[in-house]
Amino acid sequence: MLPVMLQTGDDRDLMLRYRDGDAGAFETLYSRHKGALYRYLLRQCNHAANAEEIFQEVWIRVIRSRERYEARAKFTTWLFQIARNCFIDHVRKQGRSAVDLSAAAEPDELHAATGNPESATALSQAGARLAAAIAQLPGEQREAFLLRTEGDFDLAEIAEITGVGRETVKSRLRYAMRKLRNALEEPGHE
Amino acid sequence: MSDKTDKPGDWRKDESSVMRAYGELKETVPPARLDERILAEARRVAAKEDDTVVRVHRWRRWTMPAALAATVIFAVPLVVRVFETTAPPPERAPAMVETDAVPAELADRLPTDRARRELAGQSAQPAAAPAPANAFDQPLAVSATAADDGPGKRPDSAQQQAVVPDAAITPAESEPQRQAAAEESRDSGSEYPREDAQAQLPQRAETDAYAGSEPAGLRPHARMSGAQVAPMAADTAMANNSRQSKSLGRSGGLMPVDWLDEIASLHESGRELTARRELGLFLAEYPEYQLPQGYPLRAEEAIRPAVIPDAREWLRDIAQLVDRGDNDRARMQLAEFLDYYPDYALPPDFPLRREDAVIER
Repeated sequence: MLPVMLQTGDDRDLMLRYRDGDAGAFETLYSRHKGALYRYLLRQCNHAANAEEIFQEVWIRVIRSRERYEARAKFTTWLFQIARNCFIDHVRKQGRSAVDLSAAAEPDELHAATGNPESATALSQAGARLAAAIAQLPGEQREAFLLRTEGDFDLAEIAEITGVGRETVKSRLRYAMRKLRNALEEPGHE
Repeated sequence: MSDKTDKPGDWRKDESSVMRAYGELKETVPPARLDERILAEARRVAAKEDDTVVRVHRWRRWTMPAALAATVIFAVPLVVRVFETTAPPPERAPAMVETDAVPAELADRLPTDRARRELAGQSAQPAAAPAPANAFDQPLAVSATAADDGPGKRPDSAQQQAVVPDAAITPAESEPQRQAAAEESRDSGSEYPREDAQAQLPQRAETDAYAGSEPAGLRPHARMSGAQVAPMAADTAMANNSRQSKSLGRSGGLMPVDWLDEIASLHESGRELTARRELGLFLAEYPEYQLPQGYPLRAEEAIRPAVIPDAREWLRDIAQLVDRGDNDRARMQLAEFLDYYPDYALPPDFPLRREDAVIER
């Protein structure tokens, strides 16, 4: 795996090349980050169809704002900021608050998103339990957790994306990790 | 195996075990149809704009130079025209020289008799002194004949008219007279060369509007005719000038105390940034004004005009907020922008319209 700095610089270069008309650069960028972004949205929405809709919207925004891209921040920070904002807009359009989305997801809805009908059975018991526990987290804790695991962001970067202080992020992560670990260690987990 | 204590600091242990379990969930990927759709759009956009990218880029390269050239082409004749047409009538010069009622806010710009005489090492005398130090004395004492008349005597208006030191205003003035005037000016140790002296004349004419002994900072703004409270009112004539023209005080014609009240209202309504910027403009306009005790903002909190963002940069930042989907913040920023640049025409491709601007809180 490339060092973070080199990887980050490479992302910016790709985006700048796409800004200058190189469609192939975008394809590389997309393939590099599509999985993390998709999973972030999937776990946030707890609904595959919604996640797909937002996912598409995020990338369309990236495509359409390419000419204004200035590489001031890390590309993934920018990408996930867009994703977060799109998610919030989506929630508002539905007239719901983020808290409402913390209900446990239907297993079929989550598993259908993998594009592999057999993946539902491929998840181990621990995996399924973890997925359900993530869905049960309060919205802010889940968001911090997903940015950490999928975006590979540090505390400062998560603070920047979510607009809260670093200590707040640390606290949210701590509680999230504790709850998830407890969920994994429930009786029956090996 | 597992540590079930709840000690702070154990969350790192929690994290490592959770991350190990999460590895399995990282295999989920978006469906292929989404990939195709998004990549197709990316290719379509790149291809559609590809043939125009070079042209657009070339065009953009010349935007700034063209704008600068246009500014120079329009501004230089305008400035010359202003100076040519706004020189004060000569007969007013003696009155202007006599008065000491120069408002404080103009004192640092206008050459006062006393200041100049001090520089020239002369006693305070009317401008008819043989070695004039006042740029506004040019019409009076610049003429060689006035000097010959000795101190205490003022040249008459006819002489003044003959020696107004600008060939463009008095083309009939003879060259020898002008040269004599120039020499007189230089020899007198005037701190203002002829060019600057001429530049002072139009401003000096404005001082008549400030006759009076009111201390600076409490005198009504020259352009106001009443307590016009219109934070968004734009002076059309100033719409193309510097961003400083867009404040409450300059464009709204407010008294300083009313201006401060407006700023305090902005602060109390939560428009902190706008309030601080307005205070910066206020202090630039009235640098000696002491903020009242208990005023909600301190002078140090003012955002001075120099740091006010350029309009285009500001709009670009707002557009980037929209790109990121941060529409709420973008709309609030747009409202602030329009406060400051009320007449600025938003670019046609700007992602927000003026109506989208939202006043915070």
